[in-house]
Amino acid sequence: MSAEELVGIVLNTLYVSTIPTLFSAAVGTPLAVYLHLRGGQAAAAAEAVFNGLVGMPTVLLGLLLYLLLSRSGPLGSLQLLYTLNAVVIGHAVLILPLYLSFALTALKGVEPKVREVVEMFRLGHLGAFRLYVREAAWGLAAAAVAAYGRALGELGIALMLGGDIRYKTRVLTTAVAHETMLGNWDSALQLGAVLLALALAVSAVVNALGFRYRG
Amino acid sequence: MISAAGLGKRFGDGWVFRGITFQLPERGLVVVLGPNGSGKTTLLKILATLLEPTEGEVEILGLSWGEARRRLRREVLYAHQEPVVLSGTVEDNLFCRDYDVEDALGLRPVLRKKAKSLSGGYRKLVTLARVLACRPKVALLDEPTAFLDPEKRQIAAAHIAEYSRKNLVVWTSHYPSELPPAERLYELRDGALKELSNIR
Amino acid sequence: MSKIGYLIIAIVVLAVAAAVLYVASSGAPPSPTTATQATPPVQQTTATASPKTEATPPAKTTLYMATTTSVKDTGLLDVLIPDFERWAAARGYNVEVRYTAVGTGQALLMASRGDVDVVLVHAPSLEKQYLENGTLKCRDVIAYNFFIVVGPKDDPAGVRGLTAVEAFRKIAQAKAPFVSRGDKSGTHVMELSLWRKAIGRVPDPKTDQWYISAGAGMGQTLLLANEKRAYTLSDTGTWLRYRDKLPELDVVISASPDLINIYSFSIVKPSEAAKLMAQYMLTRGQAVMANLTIAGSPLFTPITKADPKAMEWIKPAIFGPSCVG
Repeated sequence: MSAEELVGIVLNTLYVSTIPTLFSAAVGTPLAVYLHLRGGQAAAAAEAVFNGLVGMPTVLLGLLLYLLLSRSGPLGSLQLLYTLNAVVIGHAVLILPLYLSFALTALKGVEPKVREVVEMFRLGHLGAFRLYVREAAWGLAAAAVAAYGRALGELGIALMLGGDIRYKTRVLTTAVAHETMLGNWDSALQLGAVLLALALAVSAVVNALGFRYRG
Repeated sequence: MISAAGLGKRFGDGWVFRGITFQLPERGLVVVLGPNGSGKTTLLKILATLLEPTEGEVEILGLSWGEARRRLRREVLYAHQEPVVLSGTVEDNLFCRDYDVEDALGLRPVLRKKAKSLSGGYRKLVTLARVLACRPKVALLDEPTAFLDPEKRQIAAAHIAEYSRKNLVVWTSHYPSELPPAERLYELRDGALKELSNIR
Repeated sequence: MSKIGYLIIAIVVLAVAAAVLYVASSGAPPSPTTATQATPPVQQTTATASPKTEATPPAKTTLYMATTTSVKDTGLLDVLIPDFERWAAARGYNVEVRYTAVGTGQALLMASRGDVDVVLVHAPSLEKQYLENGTLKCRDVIAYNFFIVVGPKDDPAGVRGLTAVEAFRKIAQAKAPFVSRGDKSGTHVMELSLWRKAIGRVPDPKTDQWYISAGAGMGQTLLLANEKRAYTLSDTGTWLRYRDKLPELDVVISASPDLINIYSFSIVKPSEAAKLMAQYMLTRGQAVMANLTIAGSPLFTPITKADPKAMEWIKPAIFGPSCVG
């Protein structure tokens, strides 16, 4: 494999890992804060649903999205199937419950007195949100790393919705699978090493930020 | 200003207090004594509309409990007994800025420091300053001198006494000595509130 | 936030931006190889609209193709598809082929749902049904190779040199261990049809202890056969690729008529691009397929280079209207 092709695969991988993570954080954080502050039965039920969805088999999710995005499906006219964007959608749906689950746990770690301060000083929705994000920042970052790692190592969705088309939708996981099937185990291991490096890099970065933040 | 009639609060099976009745003046210092667990914090939180009373009536600045919770902005504020410190600098911890309060409580030198890196004493001062800098009409202070060394205790007590000249301050304590002169003195014990004569 | 924090965030933002730009630009059409009459690549200029001469870039067509995992696992698509896209571009067509590799049954099912424009499969009997029911509009055989039977080097069931059907019969008689893919793939389907011809039924893993159903891909199945010193049916490509990992096994039967594996290209939704691809498969594509080798051995024999003996065996699999001419 040429260096150029490898770089392309890495960039594809970054595309389908970081964008879903950013999406999950953008959507999941306000949702998690809202649920945490709301409390009550509805919030507890929602939390139970998210925790359950984390265990959804990716094959099932892949099938559902395939039926949605295929030409004979309702969103077929968007021509998304077998493009990286379809994989982004699949990953986003996959990791959102994971992020929410971790984020809620992080928010729970914020001491209850903070809620009283927020209520009392009438900080409003936006003020409360910013405050909680700050208080739980470390836990939320860990949630994002967990979500990113999940998307990074996901094979089924990338294969079913992306197709592992050379130069177009091949990502590190599908490349590893492809090289393994071809019997090129050396290449497969090298690609796997790159994959691990990407995962560890993000984790290391977040850890470093955490140390600085805690200070 | 603040009054209650037949106020009671129950958690699960047990009543913390019942049948509490009082009337607090518009300004001045009111001290509520009581042993640990007597419900001082619960009472203050009810007045701050953080907790809902189980029975009885409360009138806060002319409004019922529900109305006060809905309509009041920062007129009634409560300072926790244990310091509550948010991430960020001391400045970030103060929702209202007031030079005089920050100065009086001795927080000016540490404004830019990370609040969570400060000692318990300073953290308590931050908790107090957060409330007092917003100049509430009613300041509910839960053991405001706890965690403070003697020097800081004096500073805080002095400032609070000054503050109570224009506003109502309710000060709880389980430690009868070292209190500034108060308009009213109550004791909360065994679920009942008793007014003590102000003999010092 | 410290300076290092900002630096790290900058790196992350740059990485994401690079990824997004890369992905966005790879949506542009492949640049043509010959420059003379080639249409210019799509230029996005925000200034004035480009003048409408015959130099307007062609509209992009997307062709959806279904094929099988066996085909993909030969590595053929990695070479064939980009080559076709370049070939088409040189002729003034802007085609992107989006393919997916699934089981044979699934590929044809996707065709019947209209999810794909063309299919590349190797199951003539199934394809006939889909041709007759109108799913496939036309079909061309494009290449062939042979399944092989591999087994333990010492060949305990003594099947070397026999036809596949005869061999299977002997294996069943001798109750020699046999590993099946068991995953409804094309190879598996072929294996089952051989059993039916050999012993009139399909072995049952529960009652026939010597028969192991792996439920796995070809590579896995071969590795398992190696461990158990068993016989198995394999495609040439995977065997060649995994050979150095299979010290216990050897080819016992190759190039037997009942093991012929015939690949064909069919059109589901006729269009200019689909017809172009059909043409490609029978012209330049033939050379590309012939060039795919492992350790010097070719994986496919293109139909235009078929040897006469093989043609005899292939003839029955040629049916239906052709997609070219």
